[in-house]
Amino acid sequence: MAIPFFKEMRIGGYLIKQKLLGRKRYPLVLMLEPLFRCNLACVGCGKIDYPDAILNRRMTAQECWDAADECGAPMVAIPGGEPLIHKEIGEIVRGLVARKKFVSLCTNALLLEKKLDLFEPSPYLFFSVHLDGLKDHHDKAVSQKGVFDRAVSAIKAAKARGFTVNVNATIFDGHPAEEIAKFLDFTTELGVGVSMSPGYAYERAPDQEHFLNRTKTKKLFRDVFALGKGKKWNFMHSGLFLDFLAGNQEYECTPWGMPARNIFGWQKPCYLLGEGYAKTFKELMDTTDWDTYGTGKYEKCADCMAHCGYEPTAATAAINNPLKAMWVALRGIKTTGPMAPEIDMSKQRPAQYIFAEQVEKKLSEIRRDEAAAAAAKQQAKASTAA
Amino acid sequence: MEVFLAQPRGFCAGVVRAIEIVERALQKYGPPVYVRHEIVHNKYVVESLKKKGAIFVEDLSEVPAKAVTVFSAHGVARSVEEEAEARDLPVLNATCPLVTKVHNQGKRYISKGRALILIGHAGHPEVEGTMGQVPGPVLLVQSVQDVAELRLPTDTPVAYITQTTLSVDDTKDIIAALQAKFTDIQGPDIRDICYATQNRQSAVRDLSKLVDVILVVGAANSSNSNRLREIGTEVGVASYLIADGSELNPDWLKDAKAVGVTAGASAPEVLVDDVIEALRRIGPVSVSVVPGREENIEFRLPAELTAG
Ligand code: SF4
Ligand code: SF4
Ligand code: SF4
Repeated sequence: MAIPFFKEMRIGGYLIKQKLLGRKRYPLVLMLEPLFRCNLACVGCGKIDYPDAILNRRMTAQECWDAADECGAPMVAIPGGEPLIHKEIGEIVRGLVARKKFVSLCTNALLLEKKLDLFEPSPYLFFSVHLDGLKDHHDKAVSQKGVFDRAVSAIKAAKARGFTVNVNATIFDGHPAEEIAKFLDFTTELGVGVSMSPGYAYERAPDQEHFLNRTKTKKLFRDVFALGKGKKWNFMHSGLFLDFLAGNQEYECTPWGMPARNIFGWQKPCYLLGEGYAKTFKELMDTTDWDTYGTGKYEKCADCMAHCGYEPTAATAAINNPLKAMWVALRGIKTTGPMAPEIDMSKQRPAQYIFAEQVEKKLSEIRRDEAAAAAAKQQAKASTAA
Repeated sequence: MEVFLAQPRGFCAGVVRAIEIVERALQKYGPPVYVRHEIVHNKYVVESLKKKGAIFVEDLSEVPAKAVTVFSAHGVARSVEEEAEARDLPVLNATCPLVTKVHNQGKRYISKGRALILIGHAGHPEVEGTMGQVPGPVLLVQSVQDVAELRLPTDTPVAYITQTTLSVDDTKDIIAALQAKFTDIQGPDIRDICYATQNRQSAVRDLSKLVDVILVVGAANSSNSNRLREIGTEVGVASYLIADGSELNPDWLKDAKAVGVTAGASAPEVLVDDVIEALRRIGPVSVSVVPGREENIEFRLPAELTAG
């Protein structure tokens, strides 16, 4: 569910423009979740745990395009749920590409081969296929056998048709560094770029045991990068983000960098964490109390080192400090020695649990809409009968 | 005689994972490995793990210092975890992730100040584990009748959670009764009933349309196996719970042309084979599998057993 990119994208220009305009907070990537329904049920997933009435909801193509226009980010990532289940996904992507948005369609690939005809290769379109590791590992991570083979076959088919394909891996505890390194070798053979992110500890995920904490994450990534010395792994990340994963940068998250829009509205504050919704993008930016989120400020953010919170931070840091970015690029990522100091966690505010209330609220809205629709239908029937 | 096998039947992902944890622990650390409570409710499984060096105990006090200890798939109370921590026991937790999910759900409701109602069977280890995981009082209800008897003002903010292996229908009725009674109530409709339980229950319903007798392979103390037998009986097909072929009573089959066989989530396929063998000793049989939902769910193992 993570998203690839940044590296090849012309995001630098956009960033510099924002800087020149003196904007303090601006979005880099719109995380567009047109539906929550998925054809897998991964144990680490905290996104699909909704009642059917909500899982059956979809954003219309128009709503998707409006969201992209409203927020103005140069890139749109479409995670989910599984976006390929959405009947209008071809149209949605076409409309976004027509707006010259870089689109990263994040898919578990079960439907990809079947649905390739819906898309046309374009420098603006990327498939980002969910692969959490090599065969055994991936199949366990997604709680289903055979998924790895199908995903790899779909990747090959898409590449053969001229599409750009990346893979995104969520890293959990218990994944040995050696195996991650082998997986990365495999992606090099496949000829795809990779993005990686430590799994965010979703409170709704059935498996709570395998989320990495920050210390473990940094150690693990150091081990992985150490194994990668001299290899040409093609990461879809900025060097500074990778350096951050290896514990060499102390960053605060930039939750507004990747705002999320789904069937509920604009999610506060970030893609990972749903703590209320705003009706418009502007309302999201203006009414979210940004200072109360992030590692060290909020319990639910304690272990977060995820891509969507910190890649925007790294991207901004690279613009503000190009020399440092270059230095990391030249020297490579430091995998030994002391780490940057960890953020102080002693003052974080306690977690609030509001998921159930949001679901209840949405359900009653849905029930109300359905009742209104039924009443309107009745009335129309009555008037034609009369 | 025609024999129809329900699909799916038998092992679920949580049980496969739990057994694999014990087996891998035995390989990695060598015997003995201590397991608190039957790892899953099946004597055959327990016996075969015993042969490999697992020792089953009901209480942590029976575990010697420093011995590798596994918690069963049903989950344990916080107090048991604390006891293990206090004694510094190396613990592998085989609690099914779907059970953990119910625990977390309960903790969240309690933290919101809601009165928590657990729909489940008194005395079942999963129920005890769940009640002991959430920091606060939990009201257990087992039936619609229990709901009527709950002595809480109807405007109390309440929330409910469910044991994962209950009957989908019974649970629906109890939830409906709760919703009718309380004005401020939250809960996860029936989604806490696990996928394996739901699938096995609908497979038994399908099976019941084809057969005159249903044999459920499973242990007498297995919750989900008992539910399968009850469902058979409820839809009017004589249904029996048997541990293996030796418990088959030929009298049950006197007038039966077609026999259905299914197995609870903790019963291995060898016991199903054993039952079919026992049927063969009564007369010639032809076996076919009723088309049903295919399951290919797998759960991750604890990190200690996969790394290194
Ligand atoms: S594929 Fe993604 S959205 Fe679907 S269940 Fe897995 S993690 Fe969740
Ligand atoms: S640390 Fe930032 S990105 Fe991560 S969950 Fe918290 S607000 Fe979101
Ligand atoms: S029956 Fe369901 S809850 Fe129980 S172990 Fe199996 S999958 Fe887990």
